[in-house]
Amino acid sequence: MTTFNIRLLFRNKILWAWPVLAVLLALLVGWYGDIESAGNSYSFLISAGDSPAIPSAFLINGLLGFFILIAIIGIPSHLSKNLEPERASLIFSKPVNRTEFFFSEFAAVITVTFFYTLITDIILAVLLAAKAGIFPYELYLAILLYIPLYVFVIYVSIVLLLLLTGSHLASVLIAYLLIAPISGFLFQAETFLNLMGWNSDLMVRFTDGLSYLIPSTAGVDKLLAGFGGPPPEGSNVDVDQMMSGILYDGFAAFDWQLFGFVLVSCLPFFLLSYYLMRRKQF
Amino acid sequence: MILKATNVSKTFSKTRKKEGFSLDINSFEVQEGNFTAILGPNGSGKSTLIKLMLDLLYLDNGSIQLLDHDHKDKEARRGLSYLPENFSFPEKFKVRQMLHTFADISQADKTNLDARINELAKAFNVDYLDKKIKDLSKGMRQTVALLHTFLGDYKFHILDEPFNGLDAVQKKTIMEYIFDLQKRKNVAILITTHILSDIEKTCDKLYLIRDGSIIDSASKDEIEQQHGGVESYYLNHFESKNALQ
Repeated sequence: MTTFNIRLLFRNKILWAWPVLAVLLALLVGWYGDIESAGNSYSFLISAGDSPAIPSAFLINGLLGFFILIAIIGIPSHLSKNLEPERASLIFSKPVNRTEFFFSEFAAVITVTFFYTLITDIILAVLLAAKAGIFPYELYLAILLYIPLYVFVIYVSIVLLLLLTGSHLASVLIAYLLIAPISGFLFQAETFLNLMGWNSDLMVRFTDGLSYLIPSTAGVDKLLAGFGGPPPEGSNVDVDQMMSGILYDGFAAFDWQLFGFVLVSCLPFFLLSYYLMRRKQF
Repeated sequence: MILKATNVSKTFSKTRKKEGFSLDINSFEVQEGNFTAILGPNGSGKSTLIKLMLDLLYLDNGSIQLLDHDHKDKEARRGLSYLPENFSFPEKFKVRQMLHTFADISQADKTNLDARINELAKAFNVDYLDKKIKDLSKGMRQTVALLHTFLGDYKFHILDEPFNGLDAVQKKTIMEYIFDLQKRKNVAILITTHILSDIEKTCDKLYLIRDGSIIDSASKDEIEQQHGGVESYYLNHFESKNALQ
């Protein structure tokens, strides 16, 4: 079943936009632009044509956000099809039960996301090695962890919403425009509550508890927040303050507690989706 | 025994979009090597009964034994193939790729799969194995779906309105293939249809279903002796009831 889903995902033309854009960007910078090492082994300034140089942190964060958007728009279309009675009748009349179907769905999505992320990493590695003579392996590892983890966390919401609404579009929109911002609010609820003057003990506990019920995309952002490192010399952007994370502190500083929180926050939606899947009739 | 359903019931509540419907079947059986048909008008519960057998829909009450397993056990579905009335194969797959992919999901023996695909394609007059599903006509898709159903080495084939959209020649070709398969391998076939001529000559056992209940069943011999043929057997039951209503 996982193989079937992987094959469907690799035929998904929306997802093809991801590696295609990565290649196009590499070609653009490779031919018309330049990359300048920021005097260390990991960060860089990038320029294309006459445009001003952009710090690596901006570029990487912008790109990753865009690739993630492509992934979450494109990925659920096959699940939406598989859940239609016309397709489900074919699948579930084979020796496949709903539990296998459910877990294979996530396995396939993580596998394909990982594969496309790896392609992105390779393109970036070739570009940086050729143009700037640097090989920031922790950046590559961080990207390899960040995108599949982020996609998994938001996909948990999408699957639940898809099972509830039956609509691919509605589930993507609600997950991206509602669930992700709510997780962001809950993640920093104490700050918001202080600003609004609602910082009673009860309110803080309530939002704290709620943050364990919504898949925490904000947690993933914080976990691997940016890959910029210290600001490049001459840059007027305080990249260091804006972004801290694996590259700056290295993997030794990886926040396992936060990682655990992110996974735990996915559990309620994940288990509810599993329950709904077990009960689903075609 | 291939299939035995006892005291099976399923109720769909009335919604804004759909009328309520209740299925109540006291007893339903398919014997090994038999060609069994379920006949009834549209909406009588034929497809619902099949979906209950395959655990696509959940029973409210009753039990179903399928190929020596409880029907909920996925092992029960290892020895059967099913052609739904409405189906949707991945449009971007080529026919051959689709057949390979579904053979994977079936966990069927993949030895000489390509040879078997070619053999079956020849028998079904299919010369478009390398075309994408999205480029096929309705009849071609139906033929491909039948090809997918008969690809594995199964003991039991469930065919829900299998000849939808097929022209007369193609229908004859496939019917002949099914008869031949049944003779050679003693497979059991369960078919639903509302086209009586499809099953006139072949049916070993026939169930008539209406409004979610089996109103009568008979063997081929009984039908011939008491009614002279499937058509008059069917019309005797449904025309008289319609007249009363």
